[in-house]
This record gives sequence, C-alpha cells and structure tokens, in this order.
Amino acid sequence: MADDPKADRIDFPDYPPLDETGTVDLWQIEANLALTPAQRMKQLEGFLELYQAMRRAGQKHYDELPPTDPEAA
Amino acid sequence: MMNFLRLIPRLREAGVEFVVIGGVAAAFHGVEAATMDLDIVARMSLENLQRLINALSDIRPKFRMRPDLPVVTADNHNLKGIKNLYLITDIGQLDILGLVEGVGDYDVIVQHAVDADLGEGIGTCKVIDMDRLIIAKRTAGRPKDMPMVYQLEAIRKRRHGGPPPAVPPQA
Repeated sequence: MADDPKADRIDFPDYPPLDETGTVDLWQIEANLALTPAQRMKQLEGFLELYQAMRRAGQKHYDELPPTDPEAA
Repeated sequence: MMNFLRLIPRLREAGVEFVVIGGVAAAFHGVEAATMDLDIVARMSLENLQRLINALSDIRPKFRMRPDLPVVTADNHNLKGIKNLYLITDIGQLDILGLVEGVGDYDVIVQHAVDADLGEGIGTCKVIDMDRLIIAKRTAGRPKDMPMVYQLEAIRKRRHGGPPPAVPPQA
C-alpha cells in the first residue's frame, strides 16, 4: 500500500556488514563484483575526473600549485 | 556523460545540504590514494534526502544492500528516519552518512568545512577540514584507514607543524 508509510519499510542496518577482519564492507564487495569489467572501467574513469579536480582544488586552497612545466606548455 | 564530478553542481543547484568526506576529501588535502566511492555527510531530513534522490534520478540510485529492489525514488518510505544511506548508482557508489563518528553530524562538520573550487563549469562544494578528517579516520580506526591517517598527519605537520589533532575519548 503506497499510502501506508510502514507498508514497504525495511529495517536497514545503520552500518554495512563487515568481514571477520572488521575492515571489508561486504556490501561494497557484492556491488563491485556485480559489475562487468567495462562498467568498472567506466566508473573508474569518471571517478578519476573527480579525484583530479579535488587534488587541483586542494592545491589551490593550500597555495601549493606546482610551477608550470615549460616543456608541458 | 554524468559522473561524480558533474554530479556536484547538480546537488548544489538542487539545494542538497552536504559536505564531502572520506577518500575524496583526503585527496583534496593532499593524500595520494584513490578510492572508488564518494562519501558525503548530509542533513538527514526527509526533505534533504528527497532533494538528493531527485538529483540522482537519471543515474538510477538503488539501496546497496538490496540491489534487487527497484530504483529509489523520493517517495520511498525508507528515507524517513534513516541514519545512513548506502547507494549504488550507474556512476558508482555513493555513501550518505548522517553522523561521522568522533566528529559529529552535518551541522558540526559544515561549520568547519572548507570550500573546494572544482573549476569552471563545476563550481564549489564543501569539504571536511583536515583536522576533522584525521579525527574521523582515527576514530574509525580500521586498518585500511591508517595509511590515509599517516599521510594526512605528515602533510599537516609539513604545512602547520605541531602535533596532530587530539581525538576525543569515546563514550
């Protein structure tokens, strides 16, 4: 019943279940293994764009931008 | 094509209240360690989560622990009162936390957050400050977090000198 707020409510745990070492998020493992290599690569490429933008933003914030490499110009 | 970088202005324009934490925040502060998911702390009000879910609609968010369930929509009953939201989407995994252990919730973290300028066409977003990120990772204390903690503390010492931030005792 869409009108009943409890109708399709699931008691999700607050934290994902971890393996016996207490470090590996088992949900994350399952999600990663469900992807094809092509999907993983596409996600990695997209993620690297965020990572690079964050690194540059951090370098600007901390005034640590490396000097321009004249050979790269 | 949508990716996590292009998601940032969309979340901001949708009025989602969030701060970037985790490995992406560590990259901002200088750590060289790539993670493959985006972690944010957000105000966990139903309204904010609905804005978030609406902003994600075309990348098909699903509960990571129940990928068999349909795509999560803003009227999903599980959003109300949820403490943390772990999603898989077409562009990768997105963890939305209501509380960062050892540090606090969105309201505490946003007060000390710094602005990350992600460049033309993207704009800015809030990132957890370095000291609170160190405290959060030290509090979590997982072996996988420790290389990041050591790097963050070494970078902090190089920039500012002095001892690392004190981690409050756990209740």
